[in-house]
Amino acid sequence: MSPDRNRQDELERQLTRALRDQPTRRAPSTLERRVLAQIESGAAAIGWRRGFAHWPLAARVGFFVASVGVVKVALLLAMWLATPLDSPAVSVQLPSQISWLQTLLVAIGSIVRTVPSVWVHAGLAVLAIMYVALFGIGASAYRMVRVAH
Amino acid sequence: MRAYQDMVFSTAARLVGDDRQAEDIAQEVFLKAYENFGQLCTSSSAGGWLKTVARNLSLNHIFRYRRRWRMFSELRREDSEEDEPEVEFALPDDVLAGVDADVRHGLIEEALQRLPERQRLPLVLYHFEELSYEEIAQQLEVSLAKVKTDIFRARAALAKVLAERGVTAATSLDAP
Repeated sequence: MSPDRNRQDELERQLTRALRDQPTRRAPSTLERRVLAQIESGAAAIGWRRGFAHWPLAARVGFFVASVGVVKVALLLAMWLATPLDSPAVSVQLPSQISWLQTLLVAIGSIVRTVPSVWVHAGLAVLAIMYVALFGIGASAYRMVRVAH
Repeated sequence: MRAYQDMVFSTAARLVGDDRQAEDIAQEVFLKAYENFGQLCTSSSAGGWLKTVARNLSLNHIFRYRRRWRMFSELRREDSEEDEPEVEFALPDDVLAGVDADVRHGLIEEALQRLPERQRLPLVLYHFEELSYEEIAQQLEVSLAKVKTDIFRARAALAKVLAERGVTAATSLDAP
């Protein structure tokens, strides 16, 4: 057996003995309190905080219907914004209390239609680059904090 | 819970190498135990179940972290790791002999936490979790050869840290 192999075996033997004698570490005194508090808060949690699968059936159906409604409104708004200004669809008269909303939407729609598509794509690209850059900075900062810790 | 909390916390702390994260993981383990209380309270292997869950949650935590940050911070380290020279270091027989047991235990825990994750994980899985090399390779999704190399390097690094710190501790204990 080579001297290197002997040294490795000796090192393994010594460390195995040292680690085998190592007692379990004492858990922080806060652990038990944290677990009990979490169990109590979990038991007292109202339905919607416990995840969709635990909601009552009526609440789930109602939420589904409301979601479909929101999607429908969003689609209608998108169609409205995409409709040319001289289309009859735009000339629908809303009640006077919310006529400002119509004005606002028509203004947004006209802006959206006049912006060149190159600008839109460039804007999306800038957003993507900023997202990746911020992710990188965040990762580096987290890494530095973790190493420092 | 009181009977097992030290064991669960130790398992998590030694694997993740961070006490605060270990406490979070230990909390999660006991919440899972609470969810499965019906089965566990009549089981004679509750301790084994808790230890396995603690180990799996700790490894999940580490892998989640690794996946999240690898792209930015670990690729270069893993590349350079391949060129790392072999470490040859034996633990002198008497290095910790004169050190009080409590101090020695503290030194070992501290030395374990100072090991890099790629060395600490296989070492802890081998010596504390008593997994075989093959099981460790499977758990960590690395080759058998890498597990053996990492454990060897971990032992050498641990021995070095212990030698340095052990001498210091022995010296400080001898000091007036």
